[in-house]
Amino acid sequence: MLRSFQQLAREPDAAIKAQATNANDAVSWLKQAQVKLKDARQTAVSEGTRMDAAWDAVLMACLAVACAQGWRITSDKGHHALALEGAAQAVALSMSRYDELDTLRDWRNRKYRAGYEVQPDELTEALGWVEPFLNGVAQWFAEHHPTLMTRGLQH
Amino acid sequence: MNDAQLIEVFGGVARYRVLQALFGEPGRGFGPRELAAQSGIDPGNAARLLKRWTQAGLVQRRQQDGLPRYCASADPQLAPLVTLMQQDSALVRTLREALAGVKGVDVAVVFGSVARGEAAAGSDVDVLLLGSVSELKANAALKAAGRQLGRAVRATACTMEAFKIQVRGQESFALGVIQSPKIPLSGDFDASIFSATGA
Repeated sequence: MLRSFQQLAREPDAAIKAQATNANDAVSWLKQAQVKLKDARQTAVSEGTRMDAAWDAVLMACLAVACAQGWRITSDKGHHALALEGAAQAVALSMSRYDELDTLRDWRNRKYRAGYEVQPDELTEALGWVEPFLNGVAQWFAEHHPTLMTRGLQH
Repeated sequence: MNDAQLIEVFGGVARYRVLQALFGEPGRGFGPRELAAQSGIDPGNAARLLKRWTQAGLVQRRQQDGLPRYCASADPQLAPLVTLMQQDSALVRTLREALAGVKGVDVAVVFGSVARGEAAAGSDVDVLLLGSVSELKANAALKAAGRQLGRAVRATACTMEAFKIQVRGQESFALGVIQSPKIPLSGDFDASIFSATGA
């Protein structure tokens, strides 16, 4: 059901381009994902800001997966959705887990709704989805790209 | 009324299923083959019914992207048929099934363009959930329903009390929902919102 980056790249105007795998970039995206997750746990900022950071953590991890598979996600329309779908397919995420993260992606638009506030419970739920995903991505890198990780971490 | 009764009233499964598809989502234009597939009948039979019903004024024919599309007549006198068919349309059935696994939903309704019968083929389905329900989890649970229906489902959730406060505060979202047509999915919206102690 989920499409690979290769399949997504065949769509017209897809926000993705083939690019040689770069170990430094991949590790850099993974580190950024962890930084965003840390931001999402910060209690000194608003729940809305933390929610945005939670999604950013997912996106950065997806960019790392794309990078490892030889793709670069562009900033064209639909790049968040494309990054998530391709990465979810690569790491063999279940549809229900994918749906959760896709809901988090949709969530960014809620901030434009009058009077909308993120509830603390929702943030807890979101973090409960994001953390296992990042762990899963880390596991995927360890299993499928150990050499890439070693090279990237040397710099 | 249950399915068996409705099939009898409407003179057979084929007639009932096609009417249900058309009047369950009034405003949505169907191609004859699309309608046949959704109703589970052969395209020839669907085409015959559509021709007959167009002549009788039950169905309207319009051109869309150069192709004929058929939708339920907007005649206000047929509104009770819409209400009846929406009780168990594919949309309602799919959403009810998806929401069955979501905790804390006291009242659920479809609102927006789908409920108004103005939805285009790709329009989102807007759902309002009232109760102690997680909007995040509800939306995740509705993703599969969206895939099944071929259109995104967007749920807005809030507690009954919070919605009543929005109504009392004349907030545009709440006013828009209460003043526009809704398709009931579960619970009694009007009784919950306009009860003696409510808004």
